[in-house]
Amino acid sequence: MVKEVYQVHQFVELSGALTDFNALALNGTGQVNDYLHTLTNIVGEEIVEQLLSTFSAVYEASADETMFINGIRQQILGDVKLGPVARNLIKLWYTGTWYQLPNSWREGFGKSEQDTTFFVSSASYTEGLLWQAIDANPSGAKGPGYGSWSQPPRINFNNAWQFKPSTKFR
Amino acid sequence: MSDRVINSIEDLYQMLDAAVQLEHATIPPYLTALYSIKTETNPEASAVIRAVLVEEMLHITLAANVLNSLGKHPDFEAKDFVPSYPTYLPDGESEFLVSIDKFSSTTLDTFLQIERPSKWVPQLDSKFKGCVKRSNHHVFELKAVKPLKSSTYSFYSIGDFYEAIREGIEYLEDQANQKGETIFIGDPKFQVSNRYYYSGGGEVVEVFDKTSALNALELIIEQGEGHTHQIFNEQGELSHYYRFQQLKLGQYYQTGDSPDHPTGPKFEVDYKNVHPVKCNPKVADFPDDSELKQAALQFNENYQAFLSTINRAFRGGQEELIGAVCGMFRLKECASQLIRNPLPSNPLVNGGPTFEMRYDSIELKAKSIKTWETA
Repeated sequence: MVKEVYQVHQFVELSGALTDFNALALNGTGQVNDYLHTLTNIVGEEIVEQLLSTFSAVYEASADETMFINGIRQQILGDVKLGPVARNLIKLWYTGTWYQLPNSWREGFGKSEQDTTFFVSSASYTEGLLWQAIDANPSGAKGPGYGSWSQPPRINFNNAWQFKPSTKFR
Repeated sequence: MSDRVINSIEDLYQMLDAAVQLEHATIPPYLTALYSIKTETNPEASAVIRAVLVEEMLHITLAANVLNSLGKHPDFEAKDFVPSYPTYLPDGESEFLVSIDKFSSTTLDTFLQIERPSKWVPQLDSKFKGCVKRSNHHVFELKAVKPLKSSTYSFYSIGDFYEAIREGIEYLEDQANQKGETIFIGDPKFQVSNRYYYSGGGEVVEVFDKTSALNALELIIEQGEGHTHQIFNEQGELSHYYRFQQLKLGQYYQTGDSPDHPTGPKFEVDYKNVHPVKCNPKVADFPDDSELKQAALQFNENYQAFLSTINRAFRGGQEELIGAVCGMFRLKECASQLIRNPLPSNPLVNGGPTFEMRYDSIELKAKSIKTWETA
């Protein structure tokens, strides 16, 4: 697999595990490349590589979902360096906003000038997963049609991410 | 002296039924091209395609209102209503296929073909007005492309097709009036009005008589191909052909311009910022266990249910259009999702909505409500 394609694939699966939206939903937002680009710009290629390879290693070493979840908790979310980055990624996917990383992290690992709180693009706002999660339209965008508010939200879990044992990333 | 295309009320019913089918047939290609354009790129192309697309929806409604005014209803559930793409639409000597595809220079050429103005010289090489003779008639799936009772002639353009309908209405209504009758015997309650149809490319015309019927058809013709070959219509709107031509030429028309020579602001069309949709995607192209296949099947199912809702709306239940519009926004999201997802087998090519309808389960139901053919 070409390096970029491989990295995008890993990034989509990591994002899926962190947000619980599958590849169809994540690709469906049209934001995958912009978010990977934003992440790389701010935390740097090295940390992105470390995050993705840790994720792949945990995934490939897990015999079942419980093992996988424990692995992600301990090695990514519980990690001093990777944890805040992964949490930022979750917020990015849900809101379309990059939030400035915590000061403790910035002092230890970063302080990129681009690490400020900002919307990645106007599309990232409308494509935030939070709107899908609650079946609402982003305020001021994606008008759902007259009278749609009289209908109860149709929340479905068809696009939930799934752990598939024996997955190999290379 | 050319033969009239429409000579009986049955001819007129079928032509209007075909008109609804023809207008709808342009929607899957326009919609797919529009949503293949990446967000925040190509604002000019997006705006042009979107404007034409919503006007096609208005044309469906107008054609359906005319049919309803004659006491018949369109059938959105008929087995051949959604064509299988690629498909043929009216064209001249060099036939062209219309595909579900990404926005590209080739796609734009096809759109120009679809919307091309009728020939400046009204008399083509045909004994039927606005028609051309062709040898491969069997390939045309749409009822709209040929006058009834002719196995070798097809309309040159969509405008020519509507001219034939207009002529037919004038002729048949005159005949009826001479006997003290009218062809406009439809119940007014079946007319879809602006009360339920909104934000869709203009105002709906409710049809009760010859004047309103001709007004409705006039609006379709004007928006589609302009009036007497002017690029702007009386409301100052550009006809579809010239709207698309602006994208081809990278320049806007402005008032006073002559055909093929726009002098307004220039812009760039960026064909690279487009999702690489597979041309004429089919559900069978997606791997069996893929999320993409499930999503494509789901889209088709929802689209078919949406057509059923529209069908009811044109058969007396026009309040259903309120919900149908909400359904359209959901369909848009599903279509965009398919268009933005790479094929599992080839990450460089994306999926897309396939618009393949299933008729096995609803065939009987469709048959039972196909009222005008059995009436």
